[in-house]
Amino acid sequence: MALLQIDGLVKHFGGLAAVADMSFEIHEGEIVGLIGPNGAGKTTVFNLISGLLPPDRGHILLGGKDITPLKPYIKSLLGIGRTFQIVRPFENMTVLENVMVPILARLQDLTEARGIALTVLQQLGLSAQALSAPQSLTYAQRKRLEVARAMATKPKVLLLDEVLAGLNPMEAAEALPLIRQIRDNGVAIFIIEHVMAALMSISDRVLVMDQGRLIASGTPSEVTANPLVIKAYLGEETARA
Amino acid sequence: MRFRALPLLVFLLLAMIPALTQATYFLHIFILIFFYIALSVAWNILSLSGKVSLGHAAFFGLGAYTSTILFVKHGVIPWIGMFAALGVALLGALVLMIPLLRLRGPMFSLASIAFGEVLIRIAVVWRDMTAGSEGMTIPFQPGWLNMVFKNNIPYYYIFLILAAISVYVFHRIYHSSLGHHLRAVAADEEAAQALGVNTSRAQIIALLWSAGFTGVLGVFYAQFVYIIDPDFAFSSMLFSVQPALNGIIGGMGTIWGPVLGAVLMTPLGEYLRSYLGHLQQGLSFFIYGMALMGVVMIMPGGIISILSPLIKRMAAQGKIVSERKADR
Repeated sequence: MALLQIDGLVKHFGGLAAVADMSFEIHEGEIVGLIGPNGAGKTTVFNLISGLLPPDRGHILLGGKDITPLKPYIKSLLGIGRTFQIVRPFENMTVLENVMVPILARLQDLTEARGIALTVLQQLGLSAQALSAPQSLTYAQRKRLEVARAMATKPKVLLLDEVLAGLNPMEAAEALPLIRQIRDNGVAIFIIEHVMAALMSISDRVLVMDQGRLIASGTPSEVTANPLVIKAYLGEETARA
Repeated sequence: MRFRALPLLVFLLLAMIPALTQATYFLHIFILIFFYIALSVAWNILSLSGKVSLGHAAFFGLGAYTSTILFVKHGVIPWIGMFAALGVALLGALVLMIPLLRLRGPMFSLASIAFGEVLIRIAVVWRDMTAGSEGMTIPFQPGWLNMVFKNNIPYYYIFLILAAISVYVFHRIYHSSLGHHLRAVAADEEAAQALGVNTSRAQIIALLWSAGFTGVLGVFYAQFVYIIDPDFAFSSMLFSVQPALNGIIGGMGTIWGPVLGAVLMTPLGEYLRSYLGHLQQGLSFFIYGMALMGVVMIMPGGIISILSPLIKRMAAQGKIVSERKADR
């Protein structure tokens, strides 16, 4: 049985179909990439899964249970973790407190929460910044804080929205083992990324979206050889040539 | 927890003042400062979640009227009446303000203004209960049981203790699980939800603390001023705008911001009213407004924000020290 099953998902914004009838599955221990040209609807898919947007039609199943109508916070508690494309740290709190927020949504004890948060920060190499304000972090560190917070929700599925964007090649190279390590700890990863080389190197499978539809899926090498995908990215002429 | 010694020292020093001087006006100013510290801190519990209420006079007035009606008409002493007042203020919060919590930013603030105004009308019309616009007078029968006193000194201690309790309660909430959730909501409600925070629940609990505390303060203040009428008990300027002003000027959502705001603005307000009030009607409000604009433009985080780098450094050092201790 699939860990996360998406079934006939539809979302319109006015007359525009941002997501038009998408169905796919994500299994335990998988890293699944989601790619597509700008405006293809990738972030909308994340917002639908995490509950920030209600779908017009379709179902979202986690471990076989329908979680479609549930509120975002309940979905988070059930195991859907996510990061935001534009990092959204709580700027009125320290880095440590930022990571404590999701933990304190699950247990009451402050000391215990602080301990867990420090462990998560250590895993992401942010221990030294624990008591800093998020504003004082570098961009790469803020991206990692975003991941740290999502990790602290103890997700079953982690939705990563362009966590590598804006990082320099070295920082991106450092981030990849981290993502693998999260997967090795038993978390399925669904990742949107524009940095193609990086995405192709870590994904077990890649889904390709264009204009709200799934146009291809398969291993990275299958997908990059697919004419439909090349067309979506580069246009008609190139595909034919 | 950390640097507890300083507030305790200030509290003890303040507790000694009536032993040094009993000048009525001097003590009166201090009582007002303590009252406004408590009121502003109570208001700040809700604003910890980013919601700027301009309607807390509703809870204040509900508390004040409940205990006063019970005392004057039924002889229930205010020490007991305050529990009824707490209940009515909480009920008021449930009925009036919870439906508004879904409004964001200025929309919430604007909608909240209406409550006090509506309750003034109700209190004027419901003469059987409230004696209408004539108001109600608390009988002068001095004694601790009746919470009525011949001089200001007991009130001085009552309001000093209320101020201390408010700061302590706020401090506890701020560092609690709830406090983390509220601060997260204030920064980014959607992100908080995506991390598993039940943002509605957190805000409702904050509102109930805030409204309940404000209602209880209404009980004590009514005893202090003896006379309440609708325009006073539900005064938007005194009990909605003033605590919000103190909070914003001092630093909203911080532990010491509203305290600082109340300490600075209360004497300033008294001074302006007594020295400028007879020169030109409304001049004091004008200067008040200018002060607010100045602070908001120059330091949007309130006065505390320019002091806080220093305080933060102190707090951070304290934290590291206490964690090292815990490690051992």
